[in-house]
Amino acid sequence: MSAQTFAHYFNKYRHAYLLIIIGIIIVISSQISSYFIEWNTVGNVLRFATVIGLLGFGVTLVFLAGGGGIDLSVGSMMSLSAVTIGFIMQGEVNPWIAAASGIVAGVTMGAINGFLITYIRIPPLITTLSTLYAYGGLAVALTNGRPLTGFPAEFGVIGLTDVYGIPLQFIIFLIPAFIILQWMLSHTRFGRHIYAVGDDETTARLLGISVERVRWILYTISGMLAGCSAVIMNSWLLTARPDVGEFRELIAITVAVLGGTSIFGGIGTIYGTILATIAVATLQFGMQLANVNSIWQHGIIGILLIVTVSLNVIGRR
Amino acid sequence: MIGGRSATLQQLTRWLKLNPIKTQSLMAQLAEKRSVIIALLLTIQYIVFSVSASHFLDQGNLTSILYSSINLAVIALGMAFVLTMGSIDVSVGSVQGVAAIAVGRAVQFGWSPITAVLAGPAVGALFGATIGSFVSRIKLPAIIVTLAMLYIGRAIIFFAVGGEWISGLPDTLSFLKETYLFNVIPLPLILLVAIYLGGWYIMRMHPFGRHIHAVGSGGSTARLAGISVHRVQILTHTLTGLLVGLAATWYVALYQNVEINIGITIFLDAIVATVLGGTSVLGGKSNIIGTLLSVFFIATLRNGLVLISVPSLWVDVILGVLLISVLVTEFYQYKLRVRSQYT
Repeated sequence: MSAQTFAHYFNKYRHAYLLIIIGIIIVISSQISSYFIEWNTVGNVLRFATVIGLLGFGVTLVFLAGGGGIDLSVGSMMSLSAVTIGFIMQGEVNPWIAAASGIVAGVTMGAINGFLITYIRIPPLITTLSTLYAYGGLAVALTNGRPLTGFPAEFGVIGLTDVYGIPLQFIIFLIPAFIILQWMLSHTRFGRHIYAVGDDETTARLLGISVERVRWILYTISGMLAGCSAVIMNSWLLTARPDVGEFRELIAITVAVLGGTSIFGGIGTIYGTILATIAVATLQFGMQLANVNSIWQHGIIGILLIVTVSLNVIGRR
Repeated sequence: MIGGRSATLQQLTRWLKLNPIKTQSLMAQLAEKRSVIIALLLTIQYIVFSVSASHFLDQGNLTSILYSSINLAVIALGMAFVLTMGSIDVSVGSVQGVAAIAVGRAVQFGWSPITAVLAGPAVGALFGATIGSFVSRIKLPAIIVTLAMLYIGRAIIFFAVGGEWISGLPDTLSFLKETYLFNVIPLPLILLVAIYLGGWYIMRMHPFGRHIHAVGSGGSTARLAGISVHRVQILTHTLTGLLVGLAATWYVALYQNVEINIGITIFLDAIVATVLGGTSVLGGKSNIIGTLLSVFFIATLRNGLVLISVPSLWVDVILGVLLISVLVTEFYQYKLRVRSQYT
């Protein structure tokens, strides 16, 4: 079987392949660590999966709308949202108001990205690359690089509670986000617009779709999801770390392309992304148990990214 | 038409390639030249810093600015090449790290200076060729390939040095920074000028530079003109890798050690320098002299801000915002120009 044929089948039966990949990761991890096959593992993997998945959804949507769309700033938006929540919390306000303001901060940052991309017409790549440094740098500079503490214990309810072994964050964030976004893509007019814009921008424009509006909304959604991730991480760690979003853009992009989203737009689904999320979360938890250094982990995910994108592109020729 | 102007002014006009027949005044045309703006910014910056920081004009400080500029300048030249081709390389920092380890090991094993000097560019070119192959043969976007390469490179660095520094290297390469020509002009400065002259020659005089511009302008024009786009993509990425490797050699010669997070901030500096210098992020337009001037601007900014005790954490924010502002200005002007053509 040539590489071309394999890539073709990989794209055609993507979900089956993803399940096989998850199976392989589970088998290898259970051989490496004796602590892997335990009931706790499910909860831990889903806990990892929540943040990875939310950021992955944002990147998936941005990729879907085409036009060279990419969001490299998801991690930095998450860091700055986390720091925003931390600072507001220092003012001894109601923690839920602080959490909401973190999400608002994410929405604002996403909207700024979208504005620069769609109305000033700076290419998405270079826009989100600049905001990656601007937002991330701001998060570190405002806090002098030190984590902010002072979260009340009841704030940890989102990140630290389990319901029958399933983490609450997975139930109240990832599952609703999955259902709403997948419903939006496949059952609403806006969802069809996204695919139309991503598939052929000129035709979409001639049909009367406002390409700019669609893309701007998607960048804003990506920011909102980053804000939600910040709430989850703050609640989980009970601190606001300014570097909480570092390296997350790599994982988010990997998850999106592993789930079958085309980097050129028009192809992809949210349920593909969620399967890929489970795969990457299992991989990450397995590597964590096997004591793999985080630099190695990112290197391995980098290789995974380059292999997956190559398979996607070759298989769709 | 230009009779009223003095001979010197006419000479200057010709030299700066301004158009005396245009209705715009010469001053307005001058203000549109990117290199002139940056030279002006650089002058203002030097005046401000020399007034506000007492040790700014010390010879030691100026030398250290020059040395860090050389590191940045070589990488920024590589960045200018890839950006002009309509591509990007975010992995320069990691590639520099891997190349620096190769140089460091070569020095440690006591290999001859020539081998040690060449080890950096060789490793860099290898990385560049790999990236170029993915971009041209499989047709992946350069951002995805280099983003993955950024993290793979970090893993290789970690593997190669095992979490420790390579330090206390013998001074095999010190001749690079300690030689003075005619006892006044430092050798690194001459090397820098030579490299930039080479870069300028390739971009402006050599057919290959025209090919880079043609590929960067997008569309199928380059292919229809008979240019092998694959070849240009691979060669340009290799050339960038080579320059990054050269910067790695300079880094080892300068500091005589290799630390684990070498080059972690260099990408931001390099892209700000190229974009501020007038190279288009859309490709097809380059400005080598502007890049060199912006490199000095950024190296001085990093140095001066620390001297007037701005926490170094803020420098990344300032550079990020500077990058966005330059882009917003450029693209907004472009938008207005396009609109005025059709109305």
